[in-house]
Amino acid sequence: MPDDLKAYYEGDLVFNGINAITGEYGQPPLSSEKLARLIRGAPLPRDYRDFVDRQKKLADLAQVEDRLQPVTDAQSDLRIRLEEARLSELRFKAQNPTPWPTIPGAGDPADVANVGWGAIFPAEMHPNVREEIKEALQPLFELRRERAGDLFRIYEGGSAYRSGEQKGQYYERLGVGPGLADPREMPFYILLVGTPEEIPYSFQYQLDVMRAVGRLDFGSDIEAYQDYAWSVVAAESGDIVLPRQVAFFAPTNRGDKATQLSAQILVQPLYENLTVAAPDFDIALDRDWDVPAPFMGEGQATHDQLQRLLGGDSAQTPALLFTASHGIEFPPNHRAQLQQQGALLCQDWPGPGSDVLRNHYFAAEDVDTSADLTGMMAFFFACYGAGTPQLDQFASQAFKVREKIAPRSFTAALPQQLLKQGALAVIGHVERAWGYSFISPQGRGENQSFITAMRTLMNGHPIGMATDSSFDMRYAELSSDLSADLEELKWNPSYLSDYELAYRWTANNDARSYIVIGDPAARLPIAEREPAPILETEVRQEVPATLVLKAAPESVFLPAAVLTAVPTAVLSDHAAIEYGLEDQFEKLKASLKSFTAQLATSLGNVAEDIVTLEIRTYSTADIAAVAAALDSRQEVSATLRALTRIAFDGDLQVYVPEKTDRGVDPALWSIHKAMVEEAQESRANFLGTMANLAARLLDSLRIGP
Amino acid sequence: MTASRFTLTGLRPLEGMSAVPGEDLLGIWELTGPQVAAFAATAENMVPAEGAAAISLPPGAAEPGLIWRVELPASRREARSELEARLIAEKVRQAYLKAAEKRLSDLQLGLAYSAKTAGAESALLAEVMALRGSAVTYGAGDTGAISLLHLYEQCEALVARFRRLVQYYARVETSVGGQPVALTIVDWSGDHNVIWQEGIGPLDMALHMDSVRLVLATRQAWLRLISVVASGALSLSVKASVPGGQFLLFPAVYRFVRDVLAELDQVQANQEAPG
Repeated sequence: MPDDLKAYYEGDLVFNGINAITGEYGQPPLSSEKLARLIRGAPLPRDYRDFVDRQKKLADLAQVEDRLQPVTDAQSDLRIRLEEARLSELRFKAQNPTPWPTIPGAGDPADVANVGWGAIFPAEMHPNVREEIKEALQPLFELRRERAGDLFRIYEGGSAYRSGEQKGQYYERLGVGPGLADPREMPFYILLVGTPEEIPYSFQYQLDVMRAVGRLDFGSDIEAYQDYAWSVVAAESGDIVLPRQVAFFAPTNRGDKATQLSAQILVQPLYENLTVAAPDFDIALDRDWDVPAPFMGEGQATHDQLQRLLGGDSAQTPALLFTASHGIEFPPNHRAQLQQQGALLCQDWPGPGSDVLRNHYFAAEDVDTSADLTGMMAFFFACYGAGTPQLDQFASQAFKVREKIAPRSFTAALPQQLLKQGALAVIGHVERAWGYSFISPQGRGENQSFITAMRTLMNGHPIGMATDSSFDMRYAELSSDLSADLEELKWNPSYLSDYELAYRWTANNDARSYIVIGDPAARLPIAEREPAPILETEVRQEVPATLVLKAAPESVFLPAAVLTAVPTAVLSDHAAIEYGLEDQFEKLKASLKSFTAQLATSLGNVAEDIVTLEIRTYSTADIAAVAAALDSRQEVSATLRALTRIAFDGDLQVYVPEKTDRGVDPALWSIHKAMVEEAQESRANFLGTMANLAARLLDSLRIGP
Repeated sequence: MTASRFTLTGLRPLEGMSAVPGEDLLGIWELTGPQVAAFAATAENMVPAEGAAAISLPPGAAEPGLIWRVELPASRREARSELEARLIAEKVRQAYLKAAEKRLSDLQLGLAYSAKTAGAESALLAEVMALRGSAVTYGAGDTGAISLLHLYEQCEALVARFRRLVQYYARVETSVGGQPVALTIVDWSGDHNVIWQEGIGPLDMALHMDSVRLVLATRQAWLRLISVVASGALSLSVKASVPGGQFLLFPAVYRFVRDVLAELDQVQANQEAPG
């Protein structure tokens, strides 16, 4: 037994979930010895007594009836069979390591065109509701269909998921083989549409082993489906370009071992890793990212700060947010459970044993309703951060009882709310997050899955790939090993220490239950690699900060006599005279000449200006005042944020302010670059059209009778 | 909920000219009269921020340019849909223009009264025949003359409009749910000055980008329209051997293009009609 690991596991183990009613740990602290007993399914009578007493206490608090039911033999047999089937696939995955669990020859799994995309609806969803949701999701379906072609599928009607079905049964019914994903049989990217009551979490975990799976569950809120589909389409249209900025949020509540460990051993090393573009043995980041220091601990990881990060202050809202905190839990049937379970407990909470006040945790209703989260993604390391199953898996294993921890399985409200307001996806945990899992047996941070997931996302790959190569792969390996360990322990009780068993079990549980809320093929809409070279300087010192509006050249008002310089046709006006329209004819003729002259003048001026193309980006606290000042010809001011000057010979000069308090805003910088591309294309088109038009008009004016 | 509105001010006719018809041939913009401040504020309220750069108009800027205002509803989804619908409409109209250009170049004078000739072609060929003296002539007060008079006025106004288009910068203002988002000034050489309201999110930024894109595409399409009319009138005058016909035929060809656009619109509407 490594001493380092023992150091972490000696004493009582605490877990990442706080009961909002009691202010105590959702799962009471356990010694490693006791946890090992429960993992083995061999509790002592006093363990069971403690467990029942606690359930009764919680039941009293929530005013619910005793919710413990014994597990029947039939249920136990079914569970064992399912577990065996699941382990068989996990072993396959662990023993056949491939970069991606798709068949050889499928091509790059990042591209839906190679590996397909599908959506599974539950059979028990009312057909009218399904049709409404399908209609709402139509833009997303069209986007994926266009790319995936024949590998696009909608599973509904006879191919819908049927209640109670396990993955193996479902595959069998559809003629899908086990093992590596063959997109011809079923796409690699699968979106489950419905509640976890309609398509259970267990099915999602199983499907996720060999495929990239996400879930959309907005209940009966059809408009939310529509908004979400639109967000994905907008993000992939290229119009939404988020600044490459990541943020970390990590409370360290006083006297709380769980958050102190997650901050020090998970978040801090993860942050440090991501500040290096290409560390040895890690995925290299192919773009530069702004990775500021984490919001951690006192005065940093507060409720207000999290609100700012989640759209309350657009300048602070990152493309990718990682949080590690306690998730809030409630007794079953508590009126706040469905809306607030999984909400993130912030630094504001004084610590274990203290009352949990409403402003101590961040729930769905705390997201600013006007927050624009389009394109962002988040990763919540917290108990119940993604959802809650109806039954407690831990009690089932430890005490052979089915404990209801919720009236029904449900998706956490906070990720749903983020998706409603434009976020593309959230990775979170279903049930408890077992925080000790990120400490290796050698006592080091075991963060590789987190690092891989984050780096994959930051390189602009689909979120389904980010979880597959990290948590799903880890889960496969851990599950495979753990099943062998538990089997060996039946015959050789000293095979593993209690500490090691506790580690392996918590790590396995932790890896299993990460899920994606959102389209698994969604990717961060981040800017491509920077064009070089970039000159960084203090813009206000280097370039004139004056907005120059081109005045109309005087030539436009030239009298008709000057226009005679333009070769004109000698016209035979008899036809117009015959119509009695000679005045109008003359006016039109003069107008056309004047227009042609203006065109020529403008082209001439453009020829002078064509040496450079300039795009300036300003910001102001009051744009209405700027508009009013422009109207009234008064001088106004705004802050110059960026300037790009492109010379005719291709030289590019980019000026951005140094990073001061009023320095470059990542969002503005991204949009500035997008505007530069737009301006280049627009100028080329506009000049071409003007030149073509001028040539045609001059032809008209030159031709005589 | 705020309704969307796409307006353009600044295309009023020059002094002494007839009123510009309010229609936008692309069916996107509502041409309004004197400009109205969309971003309701006064310059007097503006306090320069610390470290701010001056934005000043150069002396001699005679009159304001064209102001394209995009007022979008508060729902970002609806706002986006509105913009996308107009961007698509603009693309469709570009395709229609191309079709009109082709039909113009395919026009054969001998088929003037053939049953195979579409309505727009027939009307145009009738004009050509009239100019060649081989068809009916109109006396003052005739319906045809009044119609032509109106057409001449429209064309003249159209040309004046286009002259302003290439004369002045375009100012694009976007507001969402009544809140100003950004203001962009694009001069005719393509230089962009973009002024963003502080604190807006990426979605609103993208909406403004689309507004600018729509304005620039419209500007392109309008120039293309006059290009099609001018070259169409020229080639037709050569085919018909009408001296000076490129000017005489300008209104007729303009009407032809307008009719073709309307005809294709109708075809599209019929295809989309239920049942």
